Amino acid sequence: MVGRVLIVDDEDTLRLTIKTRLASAGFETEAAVDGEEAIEKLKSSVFDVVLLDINMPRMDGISALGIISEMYPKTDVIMLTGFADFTTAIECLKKGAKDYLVKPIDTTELITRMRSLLRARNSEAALGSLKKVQSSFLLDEILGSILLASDLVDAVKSDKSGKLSQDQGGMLNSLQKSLEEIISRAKEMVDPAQLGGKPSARASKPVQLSKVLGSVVKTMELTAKIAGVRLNLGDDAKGQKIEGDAAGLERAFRHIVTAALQVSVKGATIDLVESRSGAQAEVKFILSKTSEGVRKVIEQSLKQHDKLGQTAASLENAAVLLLAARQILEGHQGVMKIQQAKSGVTVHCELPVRQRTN
Amino acid sequence: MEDKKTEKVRLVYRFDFEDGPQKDFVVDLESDSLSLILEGDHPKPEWTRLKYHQCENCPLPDSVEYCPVALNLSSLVESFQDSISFEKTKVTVETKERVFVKDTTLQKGLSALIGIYMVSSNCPVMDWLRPMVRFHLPFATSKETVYRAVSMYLTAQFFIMRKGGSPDWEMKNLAEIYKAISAVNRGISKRISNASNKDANVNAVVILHSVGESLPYVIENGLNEIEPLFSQYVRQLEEFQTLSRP
Repeated sequence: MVGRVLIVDDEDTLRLTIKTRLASAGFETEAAVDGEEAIEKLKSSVFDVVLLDINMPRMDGISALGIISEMYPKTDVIMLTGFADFTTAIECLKKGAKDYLVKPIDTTELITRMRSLLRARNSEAALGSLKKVQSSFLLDEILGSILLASDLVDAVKSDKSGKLSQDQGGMLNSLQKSLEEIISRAKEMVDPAQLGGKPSARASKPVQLSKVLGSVVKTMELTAKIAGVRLNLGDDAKGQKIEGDAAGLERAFRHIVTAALQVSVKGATIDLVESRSGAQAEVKFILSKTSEGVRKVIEQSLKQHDKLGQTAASLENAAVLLLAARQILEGHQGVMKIQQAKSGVTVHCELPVRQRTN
Repeated sequence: MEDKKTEKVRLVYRFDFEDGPQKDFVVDLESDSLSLILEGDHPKPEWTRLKYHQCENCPLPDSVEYCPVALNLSSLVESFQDSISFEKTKVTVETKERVFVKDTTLQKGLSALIGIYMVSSNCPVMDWLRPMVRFHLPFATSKETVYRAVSMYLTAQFFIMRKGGSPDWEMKNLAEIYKAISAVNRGISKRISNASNKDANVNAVVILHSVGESLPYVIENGLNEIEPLFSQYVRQLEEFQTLSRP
């Protein structure tokens, strides 16, 4: 199948001719008699292209074009008209039509145009997918690690025990400045609009969550200690397994802890609790003593996927890290929710428990 | 209606519109040649000149001043230059043998009438369809038109065979003929688009063009659209021919 096409024309002979020709060229087709029926069909079915006649009873092509452009932006529209009119052609193109053909249509030419349109769509989709991969890589693999390094530098710098020499302090300052510059540039390069997808876990193996959480705590313990935050691993770990990529999940949980450190004040605790609910494994990150309005800001950043730079630096960093974590969890068919607790915030991760196979 | 005295074949097309008005068109054809008989002063607007959007495959020499198809259509086009294609109308077609009546759209009724005017114009390309005028079927569906076109062509091949010629049973040339007819339909639609303020005239030609456009592919696909209608008949014929073989 080359593509799905909806043919909209009030004249049955024309519908049938185009349908027959497109079908013989490998397109899957459906037909509608006017704009109203076209909109109804679009509600229940996805089409790559709509061939839309302009002059029709009930709802004309231009009105239908307005609705399609607004509600189904991924569907391309080619306008058909028996009456060539330059002003109408411009109006249609302004309203989002990809092409404007004057009847009678040479169906061979129509097929050529449709193929070229679909090729352009596919290239666009491939480019979008590449951007998505790049954005995910930048966000998850690079930005997360740099933010963690930056936190560590910050924590070391804030140690007032006098163990750091003046030179070491200067070096840390310089390192922090460089890291901040890299973070700022990396954030600019991340396109949040490209982060809507759900990448799949790269290597699917049985992963024991308690081991992953243990490893996270071990890796983050020093950073937390320097930041004056306690990191507790809950006692009710069930040792349950999920399908996925252990390294990826560890990175996701580390991002969440790093994000938690970004929004926690000194003396706070971060509890990592593993539990089970039905077929779902749950990992909760319970944060106490978070700064004011954290959940709202983070949630908003996660929801909108845009304008990361509008929030305060630490919240913005937390949002970026949580975004990266969520990407990884979604790749494991997981869900991440942020809930407001009385004393702070809970980052709740649900992952499907691995089904035992004999 | 066949007029014995003047040797005419007459068809009368009547359009009754929902909002009241009625338009009649009397089509008189010479009974032998099936050429349209143009009577009285016939309008010859600029768009009827041969050079005006001349069809890409027009075989007529430069000495011909007016396009014969355009000339035949000029009065009709003028009548519907301000009409909308999907306007509802009751079309009545009277021939000597019968009366056809259909509640339809203007473009559909008009396409049947324009079809007659085009084929009976003496345009060398449209002449390929001349016998179909005699067996005119108003409001024909695509399948009906395919059947009539194929029947006409194969009947002609039978006559060629009987005369000792080489019949084209594969209908290779029929597809070519229809490609040439499509080119004329495109040329004519450009002419009448410029002669109309609304889309009824053009869309009527678009309907004719659609059928012509699909026919080569229908033939290419082995008439698979109408083949199922013949399956029982073909079986019967095969059995009959086997039995009657000496």
